[in-house]
Amino acid sequence: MQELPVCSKEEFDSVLKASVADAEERSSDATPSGGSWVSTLEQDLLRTPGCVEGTVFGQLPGRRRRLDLESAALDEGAAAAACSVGGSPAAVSPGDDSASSGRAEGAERPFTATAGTSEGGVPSVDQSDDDCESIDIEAVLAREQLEAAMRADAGDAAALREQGSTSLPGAESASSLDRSPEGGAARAPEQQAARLRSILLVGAQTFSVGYVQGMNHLAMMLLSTCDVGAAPGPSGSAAAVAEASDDAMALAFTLLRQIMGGRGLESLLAREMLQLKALLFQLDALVHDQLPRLAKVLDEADLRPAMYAGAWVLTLFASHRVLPPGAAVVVWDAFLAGGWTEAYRAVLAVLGELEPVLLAVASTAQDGDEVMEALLPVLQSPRAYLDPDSRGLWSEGVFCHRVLARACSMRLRHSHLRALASAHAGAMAKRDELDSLKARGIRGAVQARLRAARARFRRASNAVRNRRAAAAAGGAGASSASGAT
Amino acid sequence: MAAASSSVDDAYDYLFKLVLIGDSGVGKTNLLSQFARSEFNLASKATIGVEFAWKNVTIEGDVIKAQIWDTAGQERYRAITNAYYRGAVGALLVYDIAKRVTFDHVEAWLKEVREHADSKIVVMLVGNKSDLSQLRQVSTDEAQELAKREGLAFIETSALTKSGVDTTFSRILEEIHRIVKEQELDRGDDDAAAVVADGEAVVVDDDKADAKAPSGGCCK
Repeated sequence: MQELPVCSKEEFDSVLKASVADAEERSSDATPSGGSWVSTLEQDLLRTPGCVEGTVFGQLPGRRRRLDLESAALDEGAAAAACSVGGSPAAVSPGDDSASSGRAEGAERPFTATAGTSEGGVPSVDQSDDDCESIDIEAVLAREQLEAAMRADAGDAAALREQGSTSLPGAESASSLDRSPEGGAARAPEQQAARLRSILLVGAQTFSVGYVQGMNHLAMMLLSTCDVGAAPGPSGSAAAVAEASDDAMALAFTLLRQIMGGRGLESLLAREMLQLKALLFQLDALVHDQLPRLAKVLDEADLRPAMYAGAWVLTLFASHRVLPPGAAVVVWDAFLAGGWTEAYRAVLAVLGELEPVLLAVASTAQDGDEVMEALLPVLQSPRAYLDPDSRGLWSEGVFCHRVLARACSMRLRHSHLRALASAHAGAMAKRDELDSLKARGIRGAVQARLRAARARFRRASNAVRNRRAAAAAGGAGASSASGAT
Repeated sequence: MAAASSSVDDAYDYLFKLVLIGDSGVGKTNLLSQFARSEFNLASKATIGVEFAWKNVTIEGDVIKAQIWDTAGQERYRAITNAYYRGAVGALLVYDIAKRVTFDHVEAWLKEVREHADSKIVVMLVGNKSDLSQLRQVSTDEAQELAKREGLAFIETSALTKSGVDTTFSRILEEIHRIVKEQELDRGDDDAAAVVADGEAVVVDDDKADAKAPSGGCCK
């Protein structure tokens, strides 16, 4: 892995100043393409989990995917309580028990590493629940690992897996992953949005692809993780808090740059996303290898990894739709230290754990279209279908543990991945050839085929002639030899 | 997992595939979620790649299953989203009435559709966020004029208040339904109806009709 230098606070600030000026210029640019990414970025800030209070208005009550407004009000209360103590997770009070005992447990959990319960950690709301980013032991560990990974020798995937498995929560606590982030909101959403904007502006300036949607999730994930390590103690002064905040931003940017540049996420986005397509091709093949039953069902429904795994990969599970942040950081550790193989592991592990559900759902459908309609929503947002509270089969916590355990124990050979990559390149070349045939039209295609067939025939007949000549020469030699005796 | 398994549904007469296109942030995902699930999410995340929903609608006694693909709006994602135009019989081209630039891009989106989708795709221009009337930057007349010039249907909607949302989808589905019925009449055979009744996707395209015609002259 190409390791990029750590971005210092000063460097970050100076690039930020330039980026802000550039963004302002672009926003005032009246040409159609001029301001477009800036406004996209601004829009996305307001809809990145961690920067926003999710609000869902629905007319059909009772479904899991819907936010219960009453509990949302409680959420706000809890978040406000957490925010008011300023910056330090250790200072979060357990919350108002009478208001929501489940929430109180959740708030306590961050500093009880071996909290044994899985109840109450996650509110009964889906994607919109992540408004206050979380801080817990898992995240602290993860952050240390992120930093270690930065320093670590790049290609050493084995060491990484060890790291990955030490942070595997099964060993410590059943609840550390399915916890929700409401426990320790260090900052108000709008403050967090401003910091996220800074990172993304600098990123847009730095990366060749500019700002691409999905980076907001990556940056938010890093920012909330880096905040944990950088936070001063509860008695920290305002200046210390501000400095810690800047430290966290510079570190988050360093890591973002590492993921985009060092780890090559940038190249997936560049050039018509050709590399992303190659990666999805590899994944498709791996699904066929490792999960043949699921692959058969997905094939029948014409469900391609591009429809779901594209978003998993481009956000590295940071969008909160597949894995909760606590589990996603473990994947990130692995990815930073071990590279794309580790991301493949995670994707295959998620699919592997979803397989029984997907197969069960598919078996009730009547045709390929119904299978697709039933499975695609699950594949795109598995968390919406997992139960955040129970310890049962579809408990989110259990799901995460199984996913991570499976990812750690999975065997993936680099040579196999390389073979798949070259197979894809071959397939692409063939497709290009077919396309060019099509472009020349039927007549051209037929002529090209004829030419190819004639060439083959010529080669074959040459070969036959050569063989005959050789045989004749051999025969002549033999007969002359026998004649000599 | 109950939500996933509940989607197994009754039979339908036609399956129409639609795509939602337009700039990022114009409200495509919320239009779809209002139509399919009566939901609106103010903090709806940016679509990365594609999302999907479906709904059954009855038109003139025929049950129509609308399969709707919601695509990412950011330009860079077109590299992967334009694959979903294939086989689509309708496209909703959405812009934000309170954001001029999204309307300025309509022509570029039209070009994109015409390049990658079937030539006979029914396109409808949708001015979303009509609830933001005090922030309006694109007048109804202007949009209507563009729609007329390009031969598109046009409507204004608000995914927030749900005004016009159902009308949008039912109008485009009715139009497609009308075209398909006409095609069937032209062809004058019941086979076609039987085929689509089995659940095959309908393609509003003359190629298919030609291929089925007994006098198809591909061998001459």
